[in-house]
Amino acid sequence: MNGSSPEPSATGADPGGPGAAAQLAELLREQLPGARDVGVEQVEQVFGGNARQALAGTATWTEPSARRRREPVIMLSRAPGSQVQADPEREYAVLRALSETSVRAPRVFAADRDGAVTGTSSIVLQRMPGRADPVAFLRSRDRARARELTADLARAAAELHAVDVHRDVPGLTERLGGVVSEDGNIDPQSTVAAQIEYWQSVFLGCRLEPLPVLAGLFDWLLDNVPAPARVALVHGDLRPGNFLYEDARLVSLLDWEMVHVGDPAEDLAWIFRPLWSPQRFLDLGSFVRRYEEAGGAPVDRAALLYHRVFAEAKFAAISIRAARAFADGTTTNLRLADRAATVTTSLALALDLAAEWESLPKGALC
Amino acid sequence: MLRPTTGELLRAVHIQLAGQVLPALADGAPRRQLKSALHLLRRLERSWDLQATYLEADNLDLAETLDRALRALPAEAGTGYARLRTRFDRVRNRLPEREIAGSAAEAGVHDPGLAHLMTVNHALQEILADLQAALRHDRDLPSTALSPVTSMVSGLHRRLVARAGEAAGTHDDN
Repeated sequence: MNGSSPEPSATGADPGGPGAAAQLAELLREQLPGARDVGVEQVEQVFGGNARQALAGTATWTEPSARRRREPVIMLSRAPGSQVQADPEREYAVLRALSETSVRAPRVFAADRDGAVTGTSSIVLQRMPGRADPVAFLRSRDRARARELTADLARAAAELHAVDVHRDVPGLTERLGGVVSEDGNIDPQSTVAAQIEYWQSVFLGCRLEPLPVLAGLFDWLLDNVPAPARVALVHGDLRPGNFLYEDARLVSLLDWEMVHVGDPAEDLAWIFRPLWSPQRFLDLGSFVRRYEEAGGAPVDRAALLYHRVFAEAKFAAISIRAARAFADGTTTNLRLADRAATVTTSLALALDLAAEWESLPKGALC
Repeated sequence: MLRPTTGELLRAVHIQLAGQVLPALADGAPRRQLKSALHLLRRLERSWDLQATYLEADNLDLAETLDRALRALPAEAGTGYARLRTRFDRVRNRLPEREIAGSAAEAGVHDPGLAHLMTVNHALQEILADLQAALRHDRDLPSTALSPVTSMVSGLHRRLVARAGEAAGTHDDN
């Protein structure tokens, strides 16, 4: 599902340095249609997560209509040894397409697909208001407000999953991992299977030891792929920390580098991984009800359970890739050094969830 | 000479870094790096001396379960199982020293005993993964033969994960 992108150096570029602001301005000058007098001011390096480096600033330019524009922007650049293989061109195309929909996503201004300007693959987005702090949200003492924000997350997920992949994101179906059958329609089951196979390949390519339990879990996932009634645009990393919020309102979904076509239940399962689950404000069942009330397609409970198994296997694969990047010296991020130690926690839960799925009445497995 | 132990040293380093260095660092990448290092030091302090006991128990369980599983398969089952049996017997009996030394050096292990345990564990994991793959693709194996072996493997999976979590000091992370 992911294309290749240029590998940044292990020591990293200098995203906060004086050259970075000029690079950001150059990128905007190249790609804003008809823009003149492009400048970027108030540039500062901000936290962009483990996978990307972020540079924030205020861009100014004159449009062809002579109107002067002033926009807060953020440039996200792939961090060395990132545990997420981003395809900025795909992310750019999706965000451009989503700007025509009601999905809560930032506008996109430019992308440096091959790192020709910035030295590594980068994307320039509208900088939205709000905060992304997952700890502040998950430890909130204002449970009523946190509950309302969690319900708004359910609504935002329903809005995203309402996107018609063929109509709203034209020409990107296969690039987003959708498997198209001979009749031109997306084959839902094969599309879900392709996603499992992708993460299985990540695991097999990065593991430092055989890990037969995880190997067995991926086999189990492939042997029991659900056939969703429809596939949708799936964020792929939808969770606290990857959306901006103000009070009880979700402002924008962030970090679209794992966006793909898949089973909407995949996003719902990912939101409720124990590490970042908003369970204490709204349990999964109530969250799903809110999601369905907001227009989300009815959620098959067996499929949701299946995707909770997948979420743990995927997180384990991401952790193994992160640990491998540190072991190989392609990242200096100490947060990734010990990620392999988290794998057993994911596996223990995945085995429990798979056993729960196996115990479901066969009629529930549809 | 026993004291201070590695655990005592790790704890002391953690206390000093957390008490003296962390407060001096402003928000930013160096502070995040130190916090990650402190988190890692705490986990190592909890688990630094568990590795040998863990691997001994793990190897014993892997070997016993693989032995039972391979014996439970009918004699007329595919030749792939016989090859797995041969590999298994070789690992259980004795691995060539050069294999042990090579993999241990790569993993930064100095103690020859621990290096042996690690190499055996890796080899047994490999045989288990290959047995799982063989069972998954075997369309001729009757369910009466497959079911007990699958059950043995499932039980082993749970024990492997539980033991690895305890050895890594992460078993109560959920």
